[in-house]
Amino acid sequence: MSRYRIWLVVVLAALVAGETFRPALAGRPGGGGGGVRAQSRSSVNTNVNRNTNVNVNRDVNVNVHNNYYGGGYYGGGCCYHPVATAVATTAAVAVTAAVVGSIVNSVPPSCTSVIVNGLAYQQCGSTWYQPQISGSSTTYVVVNPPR
Amino acid sequence: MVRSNLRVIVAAAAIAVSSSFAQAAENPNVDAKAMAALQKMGAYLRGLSAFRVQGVTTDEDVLEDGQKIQYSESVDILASTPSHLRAEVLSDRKERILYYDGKTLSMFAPRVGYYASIAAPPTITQLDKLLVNEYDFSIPLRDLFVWGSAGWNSGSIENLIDVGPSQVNGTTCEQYAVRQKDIDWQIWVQLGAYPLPRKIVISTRTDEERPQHTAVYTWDLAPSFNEATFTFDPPPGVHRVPLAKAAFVASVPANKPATPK
Repeated sequence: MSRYRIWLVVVLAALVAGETFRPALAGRPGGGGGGVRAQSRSSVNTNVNRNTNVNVNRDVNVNVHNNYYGGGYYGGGCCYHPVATAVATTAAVAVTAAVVGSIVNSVPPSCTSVIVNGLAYQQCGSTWYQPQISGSSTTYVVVNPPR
Repeated sequence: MVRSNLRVIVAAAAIAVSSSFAQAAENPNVDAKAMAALQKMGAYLRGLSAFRVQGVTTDEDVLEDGQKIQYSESVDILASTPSHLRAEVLSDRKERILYYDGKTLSMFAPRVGYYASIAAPPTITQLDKLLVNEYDFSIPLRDLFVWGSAGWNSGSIENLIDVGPSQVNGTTCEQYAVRQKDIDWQIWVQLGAYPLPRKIVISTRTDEERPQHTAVYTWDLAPSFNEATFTFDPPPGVHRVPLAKAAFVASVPANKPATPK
């Protein structure tokens, strides 16, 4: 234990609510439909589109930043986003709870923020999430317990 | 025989070179005066040693059925070239403050109380390249940092016309319409001694709904700042997290324990 400096920080309803992922378009039929097929390019100096495919990993219930998830709209992006990034995150490890490597837009409300080696994690029972920020969104990656 | 072959090759090469120049210069679809104006704008931007630019932008998503969703954002950038940048991005769904001092890039997400920091290359141009290649995003309003630089390929413009004078927020500009691969764009360049871009509209032609990006810029060419403006000092209660990698799986291999770094 002494190797790690651990703080229990807060129980995190406020944190989760801070970066909104409110389903502004909830009610739009999900599955099959609800995706974004194109986005406006925001720079004339690149050939890369901000984004193309969104719901890359439906079978493991994974979604990546700034999009439509289960029919809810999570749009909005900073800068341009070439491609969704979670393509390869179907983890090889079969775990009962969340699959390591999965990316989600929010964590359950009962999680606790824990700092390990200077980095913030969200611990939700036996599942650990590594928050990560990008130009457009905060996402949470399921990781193995860091301690 | 050898000599005459050589002569033929030299002559052919000369013709090839001159004809390609001629093509570039005489593309009837590119208004030479308009091109000169865009070059002048680019050169002017690259000559600025410090500026603050505020942008109000809109972007569009096209849903599977063709319905479009528009969202907007405001961006406030302070740049001291070539190595200092601060950018605040605010929208309904996120808030980001980017700090760059020529050594470190920090991204602060105040609403969630997280920040990320990475070692950064020494210029804004190199920083943008790093972010695009490895982190899947760019510095905000990146065109403002590319026009007039070595990274700007004006040769990609297939069609350029001068639409005429047009007002943007009370400032008289010249409006130009541009076509290049996959996009049409229009730009409003301030007339007079300060050839600044004041507005841009980009239509993406790869989808039939042509989702559109717009940005209107407000400039301050004499901003005040100090070194601390560009350096992030985490307030109490704010915690560090990683900056999301583009090739995410490389940073946290799914089948290995994730060790915090």
